[in-house]
Amino acid sequence: MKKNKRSQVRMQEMAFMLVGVIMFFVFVGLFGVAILFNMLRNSAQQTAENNALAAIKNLASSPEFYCATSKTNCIDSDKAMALSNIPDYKKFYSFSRLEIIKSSAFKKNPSDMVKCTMANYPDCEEIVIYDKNVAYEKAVSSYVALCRIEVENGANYQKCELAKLVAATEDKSSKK
Amino acid sequence: MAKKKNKRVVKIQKNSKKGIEMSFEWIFAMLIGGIILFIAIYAVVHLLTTGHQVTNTQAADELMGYLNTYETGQGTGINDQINFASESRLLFEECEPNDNKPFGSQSFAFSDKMFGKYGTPGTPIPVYSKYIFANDSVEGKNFYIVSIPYFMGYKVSDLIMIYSGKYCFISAPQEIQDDIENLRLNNINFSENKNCSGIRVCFDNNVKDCDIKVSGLCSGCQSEYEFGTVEKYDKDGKLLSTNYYSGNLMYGAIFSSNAIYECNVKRLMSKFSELGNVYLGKIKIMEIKGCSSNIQLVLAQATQSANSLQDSKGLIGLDSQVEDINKINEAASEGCKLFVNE
Repeated sequence: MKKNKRSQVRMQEMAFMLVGVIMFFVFVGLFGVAILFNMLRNSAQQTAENNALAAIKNLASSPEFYCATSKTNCIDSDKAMALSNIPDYKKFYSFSRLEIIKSSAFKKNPSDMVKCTMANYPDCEEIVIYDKNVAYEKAVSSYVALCRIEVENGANYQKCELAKLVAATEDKSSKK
Repeated sequence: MAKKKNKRVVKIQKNSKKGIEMSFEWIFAMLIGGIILFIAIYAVVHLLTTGHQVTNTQAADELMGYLNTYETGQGTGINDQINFASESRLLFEECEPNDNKPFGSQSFAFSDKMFGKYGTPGTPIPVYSKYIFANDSVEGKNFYIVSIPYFMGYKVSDLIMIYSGKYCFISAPQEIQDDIENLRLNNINFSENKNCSGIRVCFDNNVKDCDIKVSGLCSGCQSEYEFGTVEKYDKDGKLLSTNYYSGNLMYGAIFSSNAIYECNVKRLMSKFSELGNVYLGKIKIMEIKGCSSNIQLVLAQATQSANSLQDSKGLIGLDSQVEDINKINEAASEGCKLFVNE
């Protein structure tokens, strides 16, 4: 009877020990997974930013943007304006926001910039191709020549100005 | 006490033949220890596999970023070579023209050899803005990447071809040889007979035992290969597929599987149509500036035709509409041209 009781106590001790050991490994595992997950998320964010940077450097050469001349790094302002009226294009690019800011608005706050519409174009400062309105995002930009055909005294000429092509990607590492 | 112990030993010896005495605690500890060890080994193996899968996903994602640089602009093409340290595999199994409407999507996964065999591929990376032409699975240490523009009046997109094997172009016409030499494509040899190694691509219908046959169907054109068909055969000479092409899509049909080619043709037609909408928008802006042309109607019809394209066969019918767009655009005054292909 006495021996039985002692065995029961030893088994209980062992069970507690076992639970303790398992809990320890579970916590260590969870800690490890959390660190790995965080590293992975940062790495994914870094890759996304690098990809966005690589994409934006070449975006001006894409058929949606390039000028009707052989100029490199040149965006056709008229095409960009037409593109801003086609909402489907937000499914084509992986950016959360894509816009062109003219040099006259470089130092302005986004809220103070005059957004381009068909009514005020070309006397405006910001052509928003699309904006998915993502809460946290990181933006990359590239300087481009923004050109359009102008007519003066019956003659056509190409008018170019300095602009910034801005592309933003969702910042998943800032999400809580 | 000693008497008691002796009694128990005797009892065990009586009940079992050559039995070993083992207390319950030991059996319990061994059982639980075994389970813990099993779980630990399982977790480590699982972690290794998952880790490898994560690395494969990262590799595919980085490759995707690398492909972003393959934008030719108004140039003729870009070619490059990627070398991997170990045998690698790119899987292009998924291409869906009706996904992510209207542009469709394509995805690819990466896998490399670990302990002599290919591991589980990483998560497929979706591609929305690129048109990759490749076989369902491309394997090797060296991958060749070529990017060439595709025009249908205006430039629609760049076609990215990925291959790893050798190709032998038999009786290729001079203009195609010039194209390939200008692009400095790797692993492509020219021959007038079958005596060269690699996948045999024949441009002469009289040559037998070809893996791929290219036939030009354009009569009265600068080159009869401006549009035509690309037929693929198995080892027994049985016809596997026939793809129709126009322009540079010929290379897409040669270097890719039937399914990927047909899917990408549909995706390209959607892109042509969406770009058509951009140009229609540009026409409205240009009209305000005093430019007028009748290109609007022809362009709208062509985009509609492209949208209703069932398969690559429809490309041949679209060609005349594209010709009309080109003619009207060429006739416009210098500042009023909708697009310029230089």
